[in-house]
Amino acid sequence: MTEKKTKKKNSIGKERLIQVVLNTILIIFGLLFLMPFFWAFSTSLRLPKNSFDLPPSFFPTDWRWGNYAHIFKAFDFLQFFKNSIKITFVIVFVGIFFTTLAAFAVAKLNFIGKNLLFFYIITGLMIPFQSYAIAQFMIMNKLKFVNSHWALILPYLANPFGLFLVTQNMRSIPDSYVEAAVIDGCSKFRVYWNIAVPMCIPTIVVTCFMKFIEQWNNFFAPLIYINSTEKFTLTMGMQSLKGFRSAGSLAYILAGVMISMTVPTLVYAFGQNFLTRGISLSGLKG
Amino acid sequence: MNTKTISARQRKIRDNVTGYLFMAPTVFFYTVFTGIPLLMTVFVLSFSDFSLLKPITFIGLKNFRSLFTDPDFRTVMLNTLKFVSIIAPVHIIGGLVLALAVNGVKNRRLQGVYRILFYFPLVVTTSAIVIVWGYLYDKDFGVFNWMITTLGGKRVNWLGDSRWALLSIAIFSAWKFIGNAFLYYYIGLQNIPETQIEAARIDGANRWQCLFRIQIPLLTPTIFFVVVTTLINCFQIFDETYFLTKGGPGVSSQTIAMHIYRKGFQEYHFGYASTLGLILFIIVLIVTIIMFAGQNKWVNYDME
Repeated sequence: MTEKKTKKKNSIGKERLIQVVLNTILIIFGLLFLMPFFWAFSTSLRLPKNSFDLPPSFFPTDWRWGNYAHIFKAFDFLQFFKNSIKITFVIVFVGIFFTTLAAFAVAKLNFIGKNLLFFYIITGLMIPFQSYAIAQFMIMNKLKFVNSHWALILPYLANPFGLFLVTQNMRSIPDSYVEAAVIDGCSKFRVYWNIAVPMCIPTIVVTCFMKFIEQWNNFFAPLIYINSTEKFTLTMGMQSLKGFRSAGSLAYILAGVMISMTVPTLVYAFGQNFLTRGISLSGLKG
Repeated sequence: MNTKTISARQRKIRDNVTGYLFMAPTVFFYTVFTGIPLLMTVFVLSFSDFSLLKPITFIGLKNFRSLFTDPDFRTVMLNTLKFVSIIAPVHIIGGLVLALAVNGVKNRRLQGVYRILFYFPLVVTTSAIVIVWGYLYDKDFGVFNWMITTLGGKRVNWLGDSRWALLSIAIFSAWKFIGNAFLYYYIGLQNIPETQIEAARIDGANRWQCLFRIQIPLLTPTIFFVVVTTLINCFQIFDETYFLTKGGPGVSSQTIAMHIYRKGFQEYHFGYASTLGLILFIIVLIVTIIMFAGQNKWVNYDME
């Protein structure tokens, strides 16, 4: 009896020890992960001439918010932000409409060649953009879309990965829901809009979120298509920010870096809650 | 009524039309901007010589012969392979270890904090955060060298030395993108019913037996998904190298995707760049086919 008790006590003690060790390792690792952010943030608030002081600062010693005001004045951030936001949000919202429409058709409608079309789009998951970039450039050139935001928007309105995720989720909607609604006189579009979409919101949010990240970070396409500064996206703008090293100093540049992170961080704060749920529902699970 | 017999046929036609209409936007944009360009690359452009000003002329296999005379092609291919063989395991295995660790944390709130934290680098603008990393890697003022010298080591020329450039990029890539694999694994682990593990524990299985006999086998579909997508992504690595080293010093950290950019959009050899694109496509295609062909051997779909 007592032996059993001590054994149980031991295993509880062991479990607690494991938890302590595990959390310690994860916290140290997590801090290392955040180190670049700490350093960038605290250096961005330093006196510009102290930017390169060693030892580096990981916590703010100064609070010179003036660096932020300066970089906003010296650099056309607002324009780059506007361009990136416009392009990304058009892709996300128009794209998700097209993607959910197609996903609904694959999951819940019957027509000839359905699986073939689905497979055709899904192959997009394994085609590297660079492998056909030249050819796409020729097409954009023919359509007069070079140096236009259309070149950065139109190709991304089709979303193979999103189609895959949302289709998986819509397949789990019972057919009887759809049939019942059709018998009641609903059009297919109404079924899609009033039943299928509301039932897949987490997966739809995740798809939007992933598309947002992908497009907010898109660099290759703007690099080959855009050549006038006022049409630059933020990704390209950041590269010209690097040139400020000679004119100003690191503190200003890092202030710019911190500013550029605001929008994705806000989007993440909103979307992160949906991430695990949305991906689980799409059947991409263990 | 008579209309009923007609409507059966009519309805079938109407069903088909509805289906196509629903799929039309996606199929249209995909075909115009991905499908057709790919077909053009595979069947026409790779065998042609052209640029924006020069019309397309068919030159047979000349571009393919140029692969052997291009002094950088071999290096670029080797670099790409090196990248894949360094980065892919880091993502695939490192992500799994991280997910297992976070999944093992009992405190739900802490678990949530770790999950948000390890995914965060993925979210921030790559071209911005890479500036920060450029300074962290700086030879004289960088944080990394400061740490090394404080610990008594010798300065490393992270980005300027051809022996270190690839590794430096790999470290950045691991930091930036490991959250992706981590998140998929974590979700997979969360979806394994706790009752299965508890039952095994009661039967006397220890922690490691649970891991290798239950968790990992049940996770194989997720592992398969992560392996395939990671490999595909690693072969087309571009941003990291472009931002950190521009492929340098020399071509020592240049990858195939960068080579396509350089040949196509900087030197305007559109035909040759298309051929390189075709090579990249074929490599990814072969890797994907091998992965899918081998999946029956180790991926477990029916143990839900």
